[in-house]
Amino acid sequence: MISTTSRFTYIARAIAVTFLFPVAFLLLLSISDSWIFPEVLPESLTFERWISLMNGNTDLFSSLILSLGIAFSVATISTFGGFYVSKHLAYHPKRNLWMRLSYFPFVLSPIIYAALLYFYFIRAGLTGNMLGVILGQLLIAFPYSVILFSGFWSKRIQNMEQLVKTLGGSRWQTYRRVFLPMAQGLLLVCFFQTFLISWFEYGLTTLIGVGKVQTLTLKVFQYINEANFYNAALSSSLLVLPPIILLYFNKKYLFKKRW
Amino acid sequence: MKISGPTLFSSNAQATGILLFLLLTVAPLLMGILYALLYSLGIIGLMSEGVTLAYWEQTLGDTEFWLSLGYTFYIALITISLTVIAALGLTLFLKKPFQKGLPGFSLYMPLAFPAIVVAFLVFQVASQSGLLSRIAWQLGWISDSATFPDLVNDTFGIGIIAAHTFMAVPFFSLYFMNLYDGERIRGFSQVAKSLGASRIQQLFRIEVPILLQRAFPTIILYTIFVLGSYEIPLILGRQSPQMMSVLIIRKLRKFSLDTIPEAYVAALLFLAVIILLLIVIFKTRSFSYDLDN
Repeated sequence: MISTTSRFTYIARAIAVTFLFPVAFLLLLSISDSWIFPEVLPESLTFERWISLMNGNTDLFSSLILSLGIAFSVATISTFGGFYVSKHLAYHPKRNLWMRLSYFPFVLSPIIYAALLYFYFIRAGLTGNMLGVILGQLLIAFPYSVILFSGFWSKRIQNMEQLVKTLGGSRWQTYRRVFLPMAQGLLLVCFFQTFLISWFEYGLTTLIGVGKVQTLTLKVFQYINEANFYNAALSSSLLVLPPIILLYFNKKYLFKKRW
Repeated sequence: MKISGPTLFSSNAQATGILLFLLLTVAPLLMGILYALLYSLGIIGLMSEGVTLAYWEQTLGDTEFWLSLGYTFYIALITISLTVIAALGLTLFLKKPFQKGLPGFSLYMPLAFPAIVVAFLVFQVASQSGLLSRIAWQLGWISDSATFPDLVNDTFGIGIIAAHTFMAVPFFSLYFMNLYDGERIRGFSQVAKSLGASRIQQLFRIEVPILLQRAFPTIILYTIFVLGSYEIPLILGRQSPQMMSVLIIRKLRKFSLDTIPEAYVAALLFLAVIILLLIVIFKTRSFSYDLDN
């Protein structure tokens, strides 16, 4: 007879397989040469798509580089900008108001937010280029970063800042020797979380970029539209790979209570 | 002696920080709302003929708009209900196996998936020529792909709900598990047990209520995310009814310029719904930003 504990372990393993299945399925689809109905498994496999990608012979490679560039820029600016700004919001008497305001752009559907701002982006010449997409994504990632850092600034940190000042430390020294080392872990979490916000973004990117800024998410959608499922699986695998690598290093980079 | 009165900012650095915040967070939102409002009232725009409430009347009397709003809420509420039930089940019955080994690692896996990839996966698995249909054919349950039930692009939004639930269950399971340990729920439950409470009473009088109460703001925020989702309903949804984001963008990008003011009316009304939900969250006690010591 199976005990309740081992029954629960079996159920947990079955659910775990459900969560892991998509990765295996995507990889298999990306190396399938032919996989048509009603076959449950591919009839033949090919590594040609992956090889051309590695050789840089495909436009997916340029999308990969573009996505990395955008995500890296958004993550860097929003992490350091958010860290600096959140400190000043945290110690301001209207702290609660600022923090509540920072939720609005963050929770609003990115594509609706982009639709509301589209006119201004056109006027500023920021549609259809990388700079516009970075700025658009920053408008979501930055408030998130402010929310994430809000918990860091406490009375204890404020007392420490005053102590450094009393001992003759400059503002720059306070940041370099006290704040940044103390917030190191949170800075990394914020960097990776904002990296993922940008990496996963589709709606805002397609609207502000008017389809010209071809990030990986846009490529996935394009391939789905063209019914080119093998290439859609390849670009999906590329999208999933960096977060899985992050997961390997530290689970915190993927899961952090966001509010 | 010069006595200075209270100032708005304690230093130049604070003024710069708050100005940057207003510039990147508050100003764009207000400017966007203002533009949409002016456009929806016919004050600006290519079709502008002076102030009019016609677009508001048109949208408020449009069945498609109300159907879309209802459909969006239906998807969000079903998704969040299924997610909370599943995540509570995993937390309360399977917490131990899910905190180590392969199950522990697997719970994080769906967090690595962007919405567009999840939509693609659900399409590949649940469509009429997808993996489930192929398995059904091999087992002799169906004679051809057309006889497989519509699970994507269907009337009830099964595909959309499945995709959202797949993404949300691991997040809420991890969140509930953290809360379970952080709030010392096991301890409360043990006390109740020693006072004679049955396992059912411990679950429904102590563990579930504490978890739901503490997670309430997060549940509402996640509901807002689902309400505003775009990629998943775009790939797995139908032409009608559409979820709000898809409807708004379709109206905005149509060749006919007539629908643009209606798109902005719909966006403003949707924004009002989100603001109302946010106000509900801000009223909860657990949503405070007072300084810790």
